[in-house]
Amino acid sequence: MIIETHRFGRPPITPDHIISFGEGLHGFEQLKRYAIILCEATEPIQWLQAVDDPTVSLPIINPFLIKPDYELDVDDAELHSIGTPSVEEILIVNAMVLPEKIREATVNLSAPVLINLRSKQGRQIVMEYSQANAIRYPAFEALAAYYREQEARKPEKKEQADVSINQKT
Amino acid sequence: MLVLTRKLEESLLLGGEIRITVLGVNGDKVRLGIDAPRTVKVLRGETVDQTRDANRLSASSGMNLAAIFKDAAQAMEAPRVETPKEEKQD
Repeated sequence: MIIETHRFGRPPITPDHIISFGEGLHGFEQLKRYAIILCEATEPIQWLQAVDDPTVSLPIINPFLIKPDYELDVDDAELHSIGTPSVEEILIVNAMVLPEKIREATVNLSAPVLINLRSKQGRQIVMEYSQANAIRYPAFEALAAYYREQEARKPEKKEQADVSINQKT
Repeated sequence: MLVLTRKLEESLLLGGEIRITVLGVNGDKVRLGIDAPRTVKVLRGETVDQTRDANRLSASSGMNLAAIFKDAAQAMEAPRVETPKEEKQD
């Protein structure tokens, strides 16, 4: 199927990509269907795209990348509402705010989005906010560390490329 | 909206299973005790409001991806520039 999106044009989506949010997301209660768009250019940030509204897509990230000791408080009723996934079946992502100044990027740790990868059901859990689970938790330092790590891996490939050039000459 | 007046230590019952008791009043602050089944999620109103605002802000952010990742690339370079500019002092 084809969906229209403002950010990504018309990404190819198959029906099993679609995650249903029975209650929608807070602020977008009327939108019940989302797809995760994996965008290589924005790694490690991915996108939660509303299937039924091209203008709605939220940047999301694996919260443990930003805060390795992140803790969630989820009760059984909330897990039940997405089909009681096992630990392996749960995907946890958190919405980000990406201002033009990337140094001010934040991730909302107080409202994780839980997705049952088996049943394709999703729900945003609202936790009482605390300093540890801030709504605007600074994400830049962890993002920069991620980018530096990725950069550090590149020179290995570059050296290999240099060798091949030397062999040619 | 149903409006009720309660005194200290008086309570309200919601749906038979949820009891909210006024525990204390101090100026403009009211302490409430809530007895509810574990399956009932109790949240401050502003927590939900802020989640809604945060989601909307999230969805409207990152519109200029090129600028963001150009900025990120520059930020990546930034930590490497650690040499202090002391030459001008001479």
